[in-house]
Amino acid sequence: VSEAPLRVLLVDDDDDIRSIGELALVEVGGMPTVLASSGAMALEVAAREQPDVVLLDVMMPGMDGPTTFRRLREQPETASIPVVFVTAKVQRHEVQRYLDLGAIGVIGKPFDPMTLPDELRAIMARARERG
Amino acid sequence: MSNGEADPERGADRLRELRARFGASLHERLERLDVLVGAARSGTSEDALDEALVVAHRLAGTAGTFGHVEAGEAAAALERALRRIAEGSPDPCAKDEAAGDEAAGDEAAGDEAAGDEAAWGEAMTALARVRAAASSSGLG
Repeated sequence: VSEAPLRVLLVDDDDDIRSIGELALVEVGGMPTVLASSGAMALEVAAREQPDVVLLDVMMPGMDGPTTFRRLREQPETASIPVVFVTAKVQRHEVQRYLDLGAIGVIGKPFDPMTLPDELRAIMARARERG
Repeated sequence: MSNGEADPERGADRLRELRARFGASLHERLERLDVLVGAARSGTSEDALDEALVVAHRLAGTAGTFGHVEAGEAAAALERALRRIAEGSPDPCAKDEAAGDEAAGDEAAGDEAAGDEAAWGEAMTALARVRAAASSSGLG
């Protein structure tokens, strides 16, 4: 029995990243995907769509990624949705900071659109193993 | 939520389209970056440095993702240099504290100016690298 595809919410203020990210997730990974261009929009879309995972950009104007993450945790309907940060800041201490916040993983920018879905699946699998 | 039917062939076609669109927009982005960095360095616009940081940050994230790794790395170097300049802006509290010791204050101001100058040098080098990388990819 094949596993149901991951349903993803991709949050990024950059149009180009949303376009190529959606392409990678949908066309390459076969993952139904919904987009948000801001933290505020992400809170609303996550509550409505109940994705399996949120791919969340760290640096966004207005509500940044970490603030959006905290707000997602505060909303009962989005509190348990796993979050993966997407960021250019991938030094070990920065990655650890995002994991300490409660993210299940970090994906670096730039990312390879052809391998992004596999990277996301691997992060989800490791998170499931950790329980 | 969009349909999740994988179609690698259609994906490859769309990826080519997106890359072409990104390439076509790169020239405009580089011109904007030139203007903003120039305005920030000459001090003619208070917001130019912040805006240049946003453009450099976006370019650093997107160029590599669209396959222009060298342009992306140069944009990341530009972002780091601009951030150092932004974060090295004189801190009014630090100035007040240093006011009691004129010699120390002068020395600190000299170090700050030299640091700023070095960071601007790095920024201009990185900006030239972004242009060169875009140009060698047939973009910009």
